[in-house]
Amino acid sequence: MLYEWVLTNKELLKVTYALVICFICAVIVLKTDRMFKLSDYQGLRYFRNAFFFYGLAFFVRFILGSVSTLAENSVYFFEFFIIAAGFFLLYSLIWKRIEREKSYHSFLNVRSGVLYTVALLIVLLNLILNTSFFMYFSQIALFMAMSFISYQKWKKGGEKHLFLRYYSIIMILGLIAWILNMALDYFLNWNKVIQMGVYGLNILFFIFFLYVITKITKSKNG
Amino acid sequence: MVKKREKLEIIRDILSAIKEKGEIKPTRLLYSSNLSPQMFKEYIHLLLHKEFIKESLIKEKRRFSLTNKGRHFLEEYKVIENLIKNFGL
Repeated sequence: MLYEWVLTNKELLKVTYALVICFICAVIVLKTDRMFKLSDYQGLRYFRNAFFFYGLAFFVRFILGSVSTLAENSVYFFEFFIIAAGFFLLYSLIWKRIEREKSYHSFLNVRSGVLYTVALLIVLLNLILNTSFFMYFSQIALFMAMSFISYQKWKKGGEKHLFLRYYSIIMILGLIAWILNMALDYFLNWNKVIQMGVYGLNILFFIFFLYVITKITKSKNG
Repeated sequence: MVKKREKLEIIRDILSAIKEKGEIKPTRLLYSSNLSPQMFKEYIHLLLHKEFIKESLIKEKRRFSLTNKGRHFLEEYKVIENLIKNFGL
C-alpha cells in the first residue's frame, strides 16, 4: 500500500526530496560561509563551495527540471554541478598538500578553473556519447578517494575528533549510493525500491553534514 | 619535537595575548607571540587589515588592542577549529 502511494505521488516526492536537500545545503553553506569569512581558512571555503554546488545540482535536476521546459537539458546542468561539488569536496580534504594558504576568489581561480574544465569535459563526453557513464565513473572514483583519505586522516590522529571517523563511513555510503545509481541505470532498469534506497542514502549523507555542523556550532554555548 | 603552529593558531595566540592585557606594546606582543620579527610584522599587518586589532598611540607609544571583530573571532575560534578537525579540512 505504501509502495503504491509512493508510486502515485512519485513526482511530488521527488520535489520534496530535492527541497529537503536544497534546504540542508543552504543551511550548510550559510553556516560555513560565516566561519570562512571570519577565518579566511581555505578548507572551509572549498567545503562551502561543494555544498553550494550540491544544492544547485538538486535544485536544477528535480525542481527546475520538473516545472519547466528545462526538463530535458537539466540533466546536463545537474551532471556539471554534481561533478563540481564532488571535486570541491575532495579538494577540501587535500588542498593543504597542493597549495599554501592565501586569499583569492574561490569560485574564479586557476585551480577552480581546472575543476570546472574537467567537470565540463565529463559532461561533454556524456552528451556526445549519449551516456551518463563518465559522471558515474568520476563520482565513484571521487568517493573512493574521499573514503580512503578521510579514513587515513582519522587514523593519523583524528581519533579525538569523533566525527572524522563517521566522515569516512558516510563517504563509503556515498560511494555505495553512486554504485547503486550506476547499477540502476545499466542493469536494474531504474528499479523503484532500490531507487528509494538511493534517495535514502543521499538524504542520510546530507543530514550527517547538517547534524555535525549544527552540533559543533551549538557546542560553543553548551 | 614541537608541532608547528597553524596560521589560525598563531592568530588565536596573538589575539589571546592582547585580550589578556587589554592593551599591549608591540615588543611585549612580539615576545609572547613566539614569532620571528618578520613573521610578527606580517601577522600584525594581517590582523590590522582584517580589523581584528587596532593600533593606538598612548603617550606617543604604540599599543595594540582588540576590536569587536577580534573578540568575535576568539569566541568562534573553537567552532572553526572543530569544523576543520572534524571534517579533515
